[in-house]
Amino acid sequence: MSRNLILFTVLLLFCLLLLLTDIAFGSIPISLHNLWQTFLHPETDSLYKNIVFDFRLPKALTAILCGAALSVAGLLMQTLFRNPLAGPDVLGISSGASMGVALYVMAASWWSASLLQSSWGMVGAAVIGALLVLMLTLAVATRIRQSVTLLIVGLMFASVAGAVVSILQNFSNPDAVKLFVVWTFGSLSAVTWAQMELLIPIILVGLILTFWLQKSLNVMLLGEHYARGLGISVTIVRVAIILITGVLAGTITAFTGPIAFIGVAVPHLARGIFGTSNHRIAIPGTILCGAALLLLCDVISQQTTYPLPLNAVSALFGAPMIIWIVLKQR
Amino acid sequence: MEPAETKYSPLRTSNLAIGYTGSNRLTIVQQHLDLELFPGEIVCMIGPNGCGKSTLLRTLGGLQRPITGSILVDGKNLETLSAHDRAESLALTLTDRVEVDKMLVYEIVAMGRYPYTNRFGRLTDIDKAIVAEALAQVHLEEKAQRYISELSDGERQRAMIAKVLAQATPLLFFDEPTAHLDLPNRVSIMLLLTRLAKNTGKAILLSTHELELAMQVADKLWLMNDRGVRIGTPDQLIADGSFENVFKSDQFFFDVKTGRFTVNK
Repeated sequence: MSRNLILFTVLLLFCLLLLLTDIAFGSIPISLHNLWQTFLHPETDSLYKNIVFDFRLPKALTAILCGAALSVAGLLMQTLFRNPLAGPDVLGISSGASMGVALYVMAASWWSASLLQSSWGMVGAAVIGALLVLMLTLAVATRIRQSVTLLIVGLMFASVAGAVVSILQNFSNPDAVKLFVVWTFGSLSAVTWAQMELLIPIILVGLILTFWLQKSLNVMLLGEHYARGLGISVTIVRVAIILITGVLAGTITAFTGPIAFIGVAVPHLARGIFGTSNHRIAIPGTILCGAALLLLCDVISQQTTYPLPLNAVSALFGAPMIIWIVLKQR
Repeated sequence: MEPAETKYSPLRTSNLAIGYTGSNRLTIVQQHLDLELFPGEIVCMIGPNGCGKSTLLRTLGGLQRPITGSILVDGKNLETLSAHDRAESLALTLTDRVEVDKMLVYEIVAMGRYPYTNRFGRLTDIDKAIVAEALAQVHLEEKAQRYISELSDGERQRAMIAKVLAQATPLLFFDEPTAHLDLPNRVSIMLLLTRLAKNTGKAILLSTHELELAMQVADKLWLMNDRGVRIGTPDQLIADGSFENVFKSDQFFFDVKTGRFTVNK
């Protein structure tokens, strides 16, 4: 236990360090002294204050929320499917969310421009899209047990969702198409403080419910029959996992666009670091690792003159990890 | 000796029919089953493949519904029992292989305490004592802090037995506990279960293909084929010719005098 406590402390400090780095670095570097002054005297109006509070702090917060939510969604799916390759993007959940957002954006552009500003609408559409694909995948997963087959089915769902989006674009006005295409690049800087009031509570509720489920999640690792033998209502737990995953992955995707690989890779990272699949440790471990990794991705993407697309950076981490998981399986 | 009617029985079925309900087809595997288990008794279910051993075990374990008839567990109807209450009355291991990465043997055995622990699975001192006792019963104390994936097949089976022991139920069911094991491990698992039934007073029901082993350790046999279930001690079933009937073949015969199967060469 003490070993875990040390690991948690180190990870937490690492997250804080990355948070500071993320806020300090960018097109205009801010020294630690100035950063400190800005936090101590937020009422003085300065250039730094605008950069920190209007731009970098919400972006860093989004990175933390997004990393935690996507990673926990991945952990839940890996437990639900008992498949190390499951994750929000791999199984097409992010594509489902994209399809929901595309439908919403296009429909709203026909209907009225004011709808386009509604965060609730975007979130609702993304969550419904994510849940739809999740349920389809689960229906397939009950028939097919092999990891790699499920992966291919997920890719096919993603392709279908992508095709629907392309067809929709063809029928839409250019403004709506542009709005949507920019969203698909994946960005952490699109969340305003007003939207944060919606994003933070939704993600927190999802994470708390995951903690609440930890005992059932552990038993689900043994498989459906053993779980039922231990008095777990498997159907209820399954529905709960699907709803939480859909809400976590769908909400984040609505705000940041589809971000690849984080959801699959981070749970493995956390289980590897802590040496356990026990969700009591794996859930908080995954949250911290996810937050740290996405902050790190963001810091790296800021190092060039023009910020790199987040998806390019996360793929550099995530894709080799998936290949490693496949090779390890055999 | 007490008359059988007044003896406490943790499991009793009456006119039970087991099988599967398809989309619009009903497959009955066995019917008219009146079965009983008694404390401290080890019962082996034997019979050819497809006679319904697993189906019966899964039905008695509450994992699938009976077609008709009733199952009384501790005097209560199994079908109206909540999942949670059922988990406190009976525990079972299945042939599903448990493939969990990075879980300690201790954690797997402690899962047996899940029906009793709080929402977060916190183990009390009593729970810890029960888990330690279960590990001791199967002689896995030294492997407790190893990952389950590092254990041999025999040790893994012992860990699963410890898990159902930790569940502290009067009834234990095992679906082919000796499958995929070598001879020394098969014997050791069977002797372990026999000893557990005697020491703990639990009623143990297991399905197996180990005929000769079952005949030597079982208090009673449930001898199954597609025509029904014969119940008796191994000696009774050998004497009345049931054994020969169930395992009839041109390729081997059952020698009543030695109690062994011999291959026709």
